[in-house]
Amino acid sequence: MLFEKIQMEADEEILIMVRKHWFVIMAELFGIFILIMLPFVALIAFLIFQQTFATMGVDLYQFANLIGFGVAGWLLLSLMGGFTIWTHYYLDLWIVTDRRIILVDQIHFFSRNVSVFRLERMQDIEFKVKGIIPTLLNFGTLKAQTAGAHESNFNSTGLPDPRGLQAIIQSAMDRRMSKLHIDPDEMLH
Amino acid sequence: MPGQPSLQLTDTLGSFMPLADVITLLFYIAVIIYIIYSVILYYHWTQYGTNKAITGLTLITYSLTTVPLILIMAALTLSF
Repeated sequence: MLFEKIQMEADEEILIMVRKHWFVIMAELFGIFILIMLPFVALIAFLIFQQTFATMGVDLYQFANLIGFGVAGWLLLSLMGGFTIWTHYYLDLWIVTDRRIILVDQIHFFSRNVSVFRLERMQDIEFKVKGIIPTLLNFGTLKAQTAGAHESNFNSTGLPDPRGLQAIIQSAMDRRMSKLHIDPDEMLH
Repeated sequence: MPGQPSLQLTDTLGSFMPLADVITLLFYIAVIIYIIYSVILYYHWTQYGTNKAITGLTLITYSLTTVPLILIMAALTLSF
């Protein structure tokens, strides 16, 4: 399992684990649902217009086994697509601990990016909620920058309650700074 | 056209390969893709999953929804 691989530090406490908002996966799975329904819609259309097809000399009943095979193959591929979306959704996550932020980005099955950002090096956390649906459902983008390394910036979209997440990270950063006796204002200079 | 024999799909396919062989070939390709995909899916969930219950539920749901489809395809392949 994942936590055995991340190797948490001694006494490290997980504050929150976040996955993308449910709307993000529902929107993607809706496309799969349409694909799954497609052969059934075609079959219903055939049954409705059976007489019309008969006058055109098309008799699909003689190809019932072939159509059944095709539909089963289509459904199998669609389900595999659906499970791929679910896998990418579930394995893609943010783990905020009292010492660091761990970002697991499951891009494809063979493309996985795990980034670790220490809280004492974090700067400028900002969130963005843009659009009608994100505003109504409260999800958006969270951006953060680490001190001194521009390539260590991170930007994650579709996160639920980005304002709350920002607050959790900010307070965890403040606690970490005070524990390490670092003045947050010194970090800016 | 009146009086002209209608073109049959089986005739068209049969001109380069018997339909039964085409279906069998497609079935084998589907099974190979399915097995490779299943191994990849299983590996990812067992290696990178965060919750054993969700991992189990996902793999069981995957098996329950896809294995019957493979069996249907196998049965239909044998029917040709």
